[in-house]
Amino acid sequence: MAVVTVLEAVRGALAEAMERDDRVLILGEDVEAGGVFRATDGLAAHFPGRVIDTPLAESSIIGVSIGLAHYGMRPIAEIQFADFIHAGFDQLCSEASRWCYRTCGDAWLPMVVRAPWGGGVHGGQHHSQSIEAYYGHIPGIKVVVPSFPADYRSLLLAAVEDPNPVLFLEHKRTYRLIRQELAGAPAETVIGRSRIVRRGEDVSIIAWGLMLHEALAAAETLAGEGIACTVVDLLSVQPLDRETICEAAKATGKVLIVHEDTLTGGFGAEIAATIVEHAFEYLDAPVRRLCGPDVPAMPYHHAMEAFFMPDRERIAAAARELAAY
Amino acid sequence: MPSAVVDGMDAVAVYQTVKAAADQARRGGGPYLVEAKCYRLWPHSSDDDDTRYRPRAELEEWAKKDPLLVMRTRLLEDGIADEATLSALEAGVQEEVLEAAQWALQQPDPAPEDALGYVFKEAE
Repeated sequence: MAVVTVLEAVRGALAEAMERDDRVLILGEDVEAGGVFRATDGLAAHFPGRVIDTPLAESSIIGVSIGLAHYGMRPIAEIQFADFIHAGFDQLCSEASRWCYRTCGDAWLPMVVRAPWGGGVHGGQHHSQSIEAYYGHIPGIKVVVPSFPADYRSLLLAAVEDPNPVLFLEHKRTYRLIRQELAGAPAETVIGRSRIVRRGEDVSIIAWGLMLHEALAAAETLAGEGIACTVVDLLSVQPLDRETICEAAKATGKVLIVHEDTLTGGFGAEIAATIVEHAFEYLDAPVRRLCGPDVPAMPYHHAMEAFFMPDRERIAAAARELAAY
Repeated sequence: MPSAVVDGMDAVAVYQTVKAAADQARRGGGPYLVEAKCYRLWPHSSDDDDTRYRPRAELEEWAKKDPLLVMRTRLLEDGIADEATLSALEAGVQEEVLEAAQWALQQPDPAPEDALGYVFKEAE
């Protein structure tokens, strides 16, 4: 295997899934031409009739996927930007998530919805959003947030094979930024597990997507200052790996949760509550959250966008404060 | 966009109109708008007192167009079924529904904690 970007890992996994199983098909806006991020580039030619352009209507893309999955297909829906998925929220929240529950397991929906999320690409208010908290709140839908190419590949394949609806979130800033040699790289194959990617005894940092990479960079800086960090790659918000979260909290007694999403009601709140409920006696400092500010959307102006997003410097500064607490 | 207005209380008319629209769409003819004029003959729910917002005369007028009555009359008039056949059919259906309801009422209640099951389908 070779060094691949996040985008190449996604594209490769899509091709692999279609190769493995004739029931797998892709639908979304402009996917035949490769999609705006080129994730489906070349797939329409390689798999004729199985990569299908849809009208610009997310509720219909997800609704049609529900129908396809119900009738035995394995749809992979592409939402062009995660920001647009909310037009299909009702289909996911009120229909897809309840199919199995409502039928006592007689029916189920093996479907994947892929969506590029996150900021840092100068995308402005409608192309930068974090959506994991909205959809991670819905039991019955799995929500995956990988960070490294190897996990993108293995978890996308796992999502396609999963009998349940899986929302597969791809951080768009990392598409071409993050590269990894796949051979020998750790690759999670079970949806719902987190991974400790760095171990240290002073501060634990929990993050996902672009922020995981910023956290690792901060941890490297801090190591030079004698502060050793544990870093958790969350990988999935639903199901949430409470065991690994608590293991990381117990290892250091000091936890910093980092996410791009806005602070209030962000998924960090659930992680913090988990730690306070299940690892309280191990804590040596209040659980700290470093998040986007509580404003309606990520601003367009580059200085304001940078102000909105946590980065390695701010993560390092917050971790230093926690270490000194 | 082509469109049609149809008596939504007449199943045969609805079938013919929607079939024409769907056939055209399947041939690649694009979208087609069908407005089926319908009326709800019952209150919205057992909590809904519909006498507060619609006159009885209106309801009675529409009740004559009850799709089941319309279909019944058509079947008789077209000689597709006779009175004896339809009466037997109706009695049979009525009995089947009552039996199903009776069966459901006799089933034991689920355990409260059964509410926790079937959130996700287990992989095979």
